[in-house]
Amino acid sequence: MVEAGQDGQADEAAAQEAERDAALVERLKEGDSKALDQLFRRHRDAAYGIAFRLVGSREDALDVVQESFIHVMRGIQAFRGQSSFRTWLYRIVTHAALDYRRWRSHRQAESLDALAALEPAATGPSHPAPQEEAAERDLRKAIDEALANISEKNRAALVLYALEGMSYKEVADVLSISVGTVMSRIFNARQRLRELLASEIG
Amino acid sequence: MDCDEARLMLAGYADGELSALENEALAAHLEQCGRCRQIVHDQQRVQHVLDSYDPSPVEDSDWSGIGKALKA
Repeated sequence: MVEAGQDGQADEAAAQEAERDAALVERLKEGDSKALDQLFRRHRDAAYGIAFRLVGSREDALDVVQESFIHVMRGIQAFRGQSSFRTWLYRIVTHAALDYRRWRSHRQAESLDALAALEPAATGPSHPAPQEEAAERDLRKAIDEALANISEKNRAALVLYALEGMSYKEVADVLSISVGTVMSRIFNARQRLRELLASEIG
Repeated sequence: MDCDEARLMLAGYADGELSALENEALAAHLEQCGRCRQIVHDQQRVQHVLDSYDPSPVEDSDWSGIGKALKA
């Protein structure tokens, strides 16, 4: 009963937050730029958390957050409120972060190709030995690297659920997939992390 | 319930996201299956590690920079 009461209070608090967002969205639609600033302040930390865990670096994550709020500003007239603003924003951030990763991977591949063409005779490792890197690596870095090595679909579901504290239903809404698919992706993501982090978490 | 059916729901069980009926059915399977119990343990172990994982902190100047870009 206590748990049910706590759940009820959490639901009520979430509903109040959603109402505040909805009021700000209406003000933004009417051209009140201060409303965008307030929406930004209310959601920037969560947006950054999602972006960081999907793109893996602070600078890239900040770029994604900026791009996402620009998208909000430009697309607000088309937002009909069929989902909460939070769900809509998280969807924008998730897609922006995944697009950013694909773009960056493409750029890195091009750079490596260019480098290979310029330096065909390059010899010897240009980075510290793997053993040295492993010794210096802390758990956060290990998790960052492990997250980068699971499929983007599984990673997005895990990040939204496990690291942003959303329910399976909320993750399903953000990613436009079923709750069963969310459960499957989170399961696969954590099983893969279990393999990748075996030496760190025992 | 066999292991293949159970595996579809182990994450939900580990996270407390199943319905009461699903939870009961899976619990009955777990009583008899050490392998699936181990997977639930692994899922919870990874989740525990993720719970302590925070992104690199952001400076106020970073936020004000984005705030200015949004006003531009």
